[in-house]
Amino acid sequence: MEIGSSAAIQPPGARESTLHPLTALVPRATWATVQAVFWKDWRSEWRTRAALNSIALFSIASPVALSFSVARQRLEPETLAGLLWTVLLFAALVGLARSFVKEEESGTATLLRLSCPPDAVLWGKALFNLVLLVGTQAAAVPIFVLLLNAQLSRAGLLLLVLLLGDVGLAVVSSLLGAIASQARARGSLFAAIAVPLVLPLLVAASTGTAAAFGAVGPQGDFWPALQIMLGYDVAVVTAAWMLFDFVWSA
Amino acid sequence: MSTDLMFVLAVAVITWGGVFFYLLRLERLARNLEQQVGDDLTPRPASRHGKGESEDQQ
Amino acid sequence: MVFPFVVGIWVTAGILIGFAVPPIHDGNLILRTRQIAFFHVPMAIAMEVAFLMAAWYGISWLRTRQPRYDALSLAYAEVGTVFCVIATITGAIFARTNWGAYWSWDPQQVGIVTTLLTYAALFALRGAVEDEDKKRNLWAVYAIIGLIVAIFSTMVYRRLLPDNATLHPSNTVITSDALNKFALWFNVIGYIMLLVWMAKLRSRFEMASQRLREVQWA
Repeated sequence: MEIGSSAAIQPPGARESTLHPLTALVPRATWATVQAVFWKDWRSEWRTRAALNSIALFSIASPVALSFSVARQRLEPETLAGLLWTVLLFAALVGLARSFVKEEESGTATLLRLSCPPDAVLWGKALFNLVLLVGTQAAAVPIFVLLLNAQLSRAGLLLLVLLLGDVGLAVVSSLLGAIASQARARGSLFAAIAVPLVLPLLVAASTGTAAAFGAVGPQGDFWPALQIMLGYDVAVVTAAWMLFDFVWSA
Repeated sequence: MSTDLMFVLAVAVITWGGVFFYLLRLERLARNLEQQVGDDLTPRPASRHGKGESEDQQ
Repeated sequence: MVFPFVVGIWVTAGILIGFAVPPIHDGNLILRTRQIAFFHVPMAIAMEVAFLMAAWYGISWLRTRQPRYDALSLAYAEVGTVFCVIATITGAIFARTNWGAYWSWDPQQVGIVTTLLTYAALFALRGAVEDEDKKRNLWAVYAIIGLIVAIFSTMVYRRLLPDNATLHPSNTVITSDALNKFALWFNVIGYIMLLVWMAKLRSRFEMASQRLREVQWA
């Protein structure tokens, strides 16, 4: 599917309205434009596989490194859950800013601004980041569970927690990647501004994962964690939807 | 009221006094500075940063 | 010119009232160093108000493009961060005398550290962008999302956990007798007025320094 052939190209009048996102009509994203951005990112990623390689390598190499250091110890479910999410968070931080930083570095950001409505860029890239996260975790989480001898007592819960966590991570990292790509020292700034924002998600995700690894007692109660994660996801999706215009068209 | 408490109270009041008079000094400083740069907090639409609207729409 | 003196007298009176009220009970326990509650709690509430105002003026900047709203947003975030540090320190002192340790990763302490980190990142972001308008836009966006995290980590997070997860007294002062309630809210109003004064002052300096930068460029 070619970008030029889809609905991605807007009539000339639509472009200047991005200057006043709250007052004027902003061209809204259609499913076709979101798809166009997604497949564009998919193809350019597939050429170099830079983000995929860094995320996958990181999230597979760190469980191996961890299993060296804690090989003979029986780890508590809470500890395992904390380790898992630390690995997943840093793997995400390594790769997810790429999708926007790449555009700024190669000078294609302006072209993207001209040819797509802002929302399509946000959701296309968020979708791409989500696919990237889910894809790498499909490999990394089983390896983590095997190498660190985690008792997977609630597999469905783990899947749900991972999915909710990935949605939040993908949306936040798209919005913050767009912010960080416009500043100096992009890579390190992205980590600095992303970590505080995903901490609530991370705390809830590790509580939920601990329950999935068989934690009992007050730690085994996973409903509050799921509520927090769902609330967080809704909040960041809404915030990203409303605020992305200002970040992107600046 | 015990002696310890009186001591803490004295420290609290003295600290607050210091902060208060420092803020008063800053207030005076701000007024002098505003007079020198010819600025106040009234909106100025003609500033360098208000550019977005007028230039880009032409 | 009256407002600073109103604040001065109000806060002084608040400190004196805070030291004069009778002991507070948390269950059967008598809280030690209870006077700190009349400083710590108002500081925390004023901090939330500050971050709310920072996000509000961020929205105002995005809507109206008036630089003074951005200056006010910056000012409230900065003063709010100072208040946040004060609330953290006084909370740690209170924790030491009542729970035995300055820092125990209580949910409330985790929450306030998250908030501090968020606003530290906000200032890092402002320092890293060169273009003035872009800097203000990104600041406003991050201030709005930062507010979500601040509200979540200081107010929501602890209430979603089991009751015994936190040692932090939740409604002790608010539900105690009328005198304590009066002392608390008197102090809250006092410190919010102090916040407004400090933030207005800071935004005036910010506007002046922006003017100076413009003169420098012209």
